[in-house]
Amino acid sequence: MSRERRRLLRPSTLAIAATGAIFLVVVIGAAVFADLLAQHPPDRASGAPYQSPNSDHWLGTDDLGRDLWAQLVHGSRVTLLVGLVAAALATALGTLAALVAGWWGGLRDAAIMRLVDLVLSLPLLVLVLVLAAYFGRGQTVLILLIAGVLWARPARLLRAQVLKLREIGHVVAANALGAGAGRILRTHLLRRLVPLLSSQFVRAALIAVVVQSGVAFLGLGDPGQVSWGSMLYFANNASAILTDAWLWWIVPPGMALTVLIVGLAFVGFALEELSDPQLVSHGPAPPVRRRLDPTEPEPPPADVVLELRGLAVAFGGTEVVRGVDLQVARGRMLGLVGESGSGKSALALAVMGLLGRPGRVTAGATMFEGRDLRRLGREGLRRLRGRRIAIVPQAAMSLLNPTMRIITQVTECAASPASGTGGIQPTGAVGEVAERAHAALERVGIPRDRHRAYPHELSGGQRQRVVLAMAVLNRPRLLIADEPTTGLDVVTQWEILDLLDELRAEFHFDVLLISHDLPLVAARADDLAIMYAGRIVEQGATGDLVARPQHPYTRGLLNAVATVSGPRRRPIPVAGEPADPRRLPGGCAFAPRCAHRSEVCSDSDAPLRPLASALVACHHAPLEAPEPGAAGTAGGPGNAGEVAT
Amino acid sequence: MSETLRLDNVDVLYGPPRGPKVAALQDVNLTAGRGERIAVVGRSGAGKSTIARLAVGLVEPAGGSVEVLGKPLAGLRATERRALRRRVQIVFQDPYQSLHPGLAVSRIVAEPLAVAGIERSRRPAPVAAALESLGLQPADQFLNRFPASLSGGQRQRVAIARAFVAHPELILADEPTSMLDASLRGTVAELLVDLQRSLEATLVFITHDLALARYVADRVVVLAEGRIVEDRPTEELLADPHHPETQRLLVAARRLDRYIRSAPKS
Amino acid sequence: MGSQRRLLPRWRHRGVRLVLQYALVVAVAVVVNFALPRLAPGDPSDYLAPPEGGTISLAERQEMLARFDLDGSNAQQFSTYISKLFQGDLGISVRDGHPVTEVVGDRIGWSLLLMGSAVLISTVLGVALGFAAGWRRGSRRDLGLLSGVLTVDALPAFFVGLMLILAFSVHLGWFPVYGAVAPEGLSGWAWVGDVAERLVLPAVTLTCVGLGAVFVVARSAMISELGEDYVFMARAKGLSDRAVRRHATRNARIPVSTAALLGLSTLVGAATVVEAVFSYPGLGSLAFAAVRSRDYPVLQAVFLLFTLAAMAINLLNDLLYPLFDPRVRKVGT
Repeated sequence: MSRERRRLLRPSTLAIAATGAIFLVVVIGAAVFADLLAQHPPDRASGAPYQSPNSDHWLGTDDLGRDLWAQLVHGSRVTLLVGLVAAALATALGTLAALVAGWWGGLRDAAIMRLVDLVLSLPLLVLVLVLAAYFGRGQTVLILLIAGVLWARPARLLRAQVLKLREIGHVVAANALGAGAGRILRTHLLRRLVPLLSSQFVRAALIAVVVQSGVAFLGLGDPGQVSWGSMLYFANNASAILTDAWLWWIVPPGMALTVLIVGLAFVGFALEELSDPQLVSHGPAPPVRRRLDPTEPEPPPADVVLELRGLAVAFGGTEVVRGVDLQVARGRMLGLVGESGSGKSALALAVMGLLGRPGRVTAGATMFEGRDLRRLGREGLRRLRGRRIAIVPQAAMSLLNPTMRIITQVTECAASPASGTGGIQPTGAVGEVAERAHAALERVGIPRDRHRAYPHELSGGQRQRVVLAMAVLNRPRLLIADEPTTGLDVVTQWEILDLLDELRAEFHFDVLLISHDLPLVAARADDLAIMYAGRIVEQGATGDLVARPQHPYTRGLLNAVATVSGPRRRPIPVAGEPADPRRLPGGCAFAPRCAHRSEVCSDSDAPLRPLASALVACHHAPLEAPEPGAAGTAGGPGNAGEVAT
Repeated sequence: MSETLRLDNVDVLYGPPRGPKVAALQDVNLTAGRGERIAVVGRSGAGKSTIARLAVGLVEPAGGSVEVLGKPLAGLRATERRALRRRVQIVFQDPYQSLHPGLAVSRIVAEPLAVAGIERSRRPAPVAAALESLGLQPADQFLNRFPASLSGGQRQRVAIARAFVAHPELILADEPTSMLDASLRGTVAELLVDLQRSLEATLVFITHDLALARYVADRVVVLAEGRIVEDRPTEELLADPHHPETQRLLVAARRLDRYIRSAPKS
Repeated sequence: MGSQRRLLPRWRHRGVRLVLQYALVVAVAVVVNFALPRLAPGDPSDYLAPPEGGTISLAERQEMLARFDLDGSNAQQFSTYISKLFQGDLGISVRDGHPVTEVVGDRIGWSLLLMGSAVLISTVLGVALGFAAGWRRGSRRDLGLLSGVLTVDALPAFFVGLMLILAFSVHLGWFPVYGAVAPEGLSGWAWVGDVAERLVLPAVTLTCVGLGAVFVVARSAMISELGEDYVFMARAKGLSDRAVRRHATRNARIPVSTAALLGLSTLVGAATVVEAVFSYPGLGSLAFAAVRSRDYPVLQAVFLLFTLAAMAINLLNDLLYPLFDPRVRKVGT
C-alpha cells in the first residue's frame, strides 16, 4: 500500500491550464497594447451615435457616439487592474490574518475566525454595493472595498493550512530547536504556503473581476472609467437587447468577461490541483488489460493455493516487480520479506487486482483455484476479493471509514452479493448476516457492546482486529497480510499475529505474510521468500533459510537485527542504499551493495536456482566461504521457477 | 545539580482548552545525568513521546517541574528558553515529515547553526562533518539534494545530522527507528550511540523495542499508562524484569530472537 | 497520543459556547450597522437635508431629521436605534415614506422563492455532477464536465440574464421578462402559473452562478476521499462500485455541506444583479434601489437582514457538522 503522491499535473489538468493561460494572455495582451489596437478614444464621442459596425468603427458606436471597439480594448485595463490589485491586497491581508490566527492561536484565532466566517457568509456584491454607497464610487475606493471583503476566503484556507503545517515534523523540529517565530514563519511556513497562495490569488482575482463588473453593470462603478461592465450598463440602458445592436454591443463585452473569467478559473483550478497533494493521489484502478495469450495456462497441482508465474508489475515505465515465481502451498504459511521499495506490496496488490494508477501487471499469470486471475476481468476479481482472497493491509489507522459504525462496515462485507464464484455460501437473511458479523467481531476479541462504536473510539490494535474480522467473515481460501502489524507496538504486534494464527487454524485458510521485518516473519512463516528490487533472491523453508542463508542479502538482513537475549552483538548494516527501481544497475541488482561481487555480477543477473533444499539467485552461492569472492562463479543457466521445497 | 534532564512529579494532561482532559503522564520522576544514555520504553499511548516533548518545551506540564541542563523551564523568559533549546536537540519518528521538502540538505542540517547565530561562512564545515559521520559520504554528494530524492534511512540520518551539528548537550530521540525498515533500525541506533559518545552528550532514546533499548542504553525506564513502572540498569532489567509490563515487552522482543541467534555471521 | 476514551460528551458545552459567540457577533453587526453611515464621508443628515441648500427651512430640516431619528447626539441616536430595533421598528424608507419593515416584508418572499429554487437546483445538480466527475478523475467525462461547468460558472450573471431574455423572451417569446407576477390581479392556478413562468429565467441564471462552486468542491471532495485508505479497504473487501461510492460520498458530504452553505452568500450577491436584470422584486433589487437613492434606513435593514441570515447559515453549518462527522461528536463510553 505504499502510496506515491505525485506532484504532477495530469494531461487533462494540463490541457485546462494551457487553455486558461492562453485566454489570460489574450486579455493581458489587449490591455498592454490597447493604444495600438484601437484608433479611437474609448471615453469620448468619435462619430455619430448608434452606428452599426463599419470600416471606421469596427463594432459601431454607442448612444453617445463612442467607439465600441476602443471601449472593448481599453475596458480590459480597468477590469484587470481592479482584479489584480484587489486580489493582491486581499491575499496579503488574508495571509497576515491566517498567520496570526493559525500560528499564535488562542483568543486571536477565535476572534479572527468568527470575523472571517461572518465576512465569508455575507453576500460580497451586496456588501460592496452598500459600502460603496457610504464611501463613494471611485476606483481606489472600489479596490479597497473589494479587498476588504475578499480577504476572508484566503484567510480561512491559509489558516487551515498553517494549522496543518504547525503539526508537521519539520515545523515542530524548527520550533524545538529554538528558532524564532520570524524564522519559522519565513522559511518553514510561507515557503510551503506559496502554492496555496498562488491559487488563492488567482481565485481572488476572479471574484474581484466578477464583483467589479457587477458593480459597473449596475451603474455604480467609477463614472470616469470605461470597463466591460459599464459597457453592458450603457447597452442595457439603451435597450440594445431589443435591436440588432446586441450583437456588437452586448456580446463582445460579455464574451470578453467570460474569456477573462474562464482564463482565471482554469489557471486557478490547475494551481489548486498542484497545491493540494491529496488531490493528486492515485485514481481508481484501470480496467484489466485483456491482451493475453489465448491459451489458458496449466493449472498448478492441487496442493498449491496460489501460484505466481513470471509476474511483472510496472508503474509507468518503471518495473517494480520483475518476473516473480512464487507458490503458496496448502497448509504452509509463506512469508515474503523485502525492504521498502522492493516491490512486495505491488505484488500483493497485483494479485488482488487493486493496483492504483499508473500501476499495471505487464506479464505473467496468477493462478488461484485453477484459474488465471488476470483473465477474470474487473468484476470477476471484485467478486473474488473478500470472499476467496482476503487482504489485511498495513495497520494504518485509517483503514476504516471514520463516519461509519464498525458493525456496519463488517456487515457490508457479508451483505455484498457473492454470486458468480463457486464455493461460497449464499448470504442469508438480514438478521442472519448481522449475526454473522457480530460473531466475527466477537471472535477477534471486540466485545458486543463496542460493535456500534466508530473507528476513532478504538485503539490501533482493536482496529486491526476489526480488519481481521472483515477478512475472515466469508471464510476465504487465502489471506494476504501485507505488513499487518506495522505501526503497532511490539506487544500488540504479537497479539495480532497470534490472533491471525488462531483464525487460520479455525477457518482453514492459507496465509501470505508480507513484511520488511525478517525476524517477525521468520517467527511465523513455514517458508520464506526474500525479495530484492522486484525479484525473489532466496526462497526456502524458514528453519534452513535462517540457519544457512545462501544469499548475501539474506545474510545482511539477519546481521542487521538487534537481539534482546544472548550476547550483545553489534548489528551490522547492509552496506549501501536500497536499490532504486528507476535506476537499477545492469546484472545483479544487489551487486553494488555486495561484498562478494565480482565481474560476473555486473555482467548478468543471477537466475533463481536450486541449491541444497532452497532456491538462490546468486552467482556466488553457496556462501560457505567466509572470504568475499572466494566462492566460484558458478551459476547454471535458467532452471528458475522450479520449486524445491 | 549535575543532571542534564530532571523531571520531578510531572503530570501532563491533554485535551481541548476548556474540555475534559486525559492524563498523558502522571507523577513522573526521571533523571538523566551528563553523558548518560537512557532508554524510555513502553507501548503506544504510554506517554513516551510526551517526555521528549516536555524536555524541548513543546508541551507544558500541568504539575511538577522540568529541569533541563540545571535550569527549571517554568521560570524562563522566552529568550532564555530559546537559548536553552539550542543546547537540546530532538530527532523525530517520521523522517518523511521532519525535513522541509523545499530545502536542500545543506540548509536543513545547517538550521541549528543558523538559529544559534553562527555566520553563514562558518556553517559548511560542521555540516559536512556531521553528514560524513553519519555515513552520508562524500558529503558534497548530498549537500544539494532535496529530501524527496533520499531514501527513508538517508532522511533519518540527515535528521540525526541536524540534531548533532550544533553539538548539543542533550539529545532526545523519539522513536527514530520505528518508521524504518527492520534492517535499518539497529544501524540508526548504533549511529546515535557513536555520536553521543564522541560528544559526551546525554541521550534519551525512546522506543517500544527492548532489543534496541539494549543496544543504546545503560539504563531503561519502562512507562505504562503514563506512569514509570521500572527504572533500572539495562542488563539487570533484561535479566530479571519485575513489572508485568516489562515482562510483556521482554517476551515480545524475545520471540524474535531464536531465529536470529542461530544465524551465522557473515 | 493519549487515549480519547475518557472524554465526556461535549455536545451541550459546545452548543452554549456557539450561541454566546453568535450573540456577540450579532451585537457587533448591529453596532457596525449603526455606525457605518455615520462614519462614512458625508453625514446622512447632510444628504437628506443639506443645511446650506436653502431649499428647506431650518424648521423643516429639524422635522426631517427627527423623522429619520437623526436628531440629538450620537449616543441618543444609538439608544433610539436600539430600542426601536427591539420593537421591530426599522425606521421609515426615505424613498417612499413607508415603514422599512413593510418595504422589506413585501420583498422577502420573492427573494426566498428565487433564492430557494436556485439553491436547490444548483446544489443538487452541482453535487451530482461533481461526484460523477470526481469518481472517474481524468476521464473524458471528468474533463468535459469540469471545463463545461467552469465555463458556465464564468459567464457573468448579467450577461447570461441578458442572453436568456434575448433568446427566450425577445426572440422566442416563451417567457415574460419583467417582475415576479403580472400586474393585473391573477388568482388561483393562473397566478401560480404566472409566478412559475416568471421564475424560470432568473432562477436558471442564478443556478448558473451557484453551480460552479458546489461542483468544484464536490468533485475534489470525492477525489480526496477516493484516495483515502478506507476506500482502498472497501475495494479490498470486494464491495461493488456502488458500495464503494457510498463510502466515499458519506464522507464527502462533510466538506460539501460546508461549501454549499457558505456558497449561499455568492448567490445572494449575484441575486442583486439578476434581480436588476429581470426587474425581479426581491431584496437584491431593493438593496440596489436603496443604494442608488441613498435610502439609508432601507440599506441598514437589508444589511442587518443579510448579517442575520449569514449568522443563521453559519450556525446551521456548525450544527450540521457533528451530524455528519462522528469524530466531532466525541461520544463517551
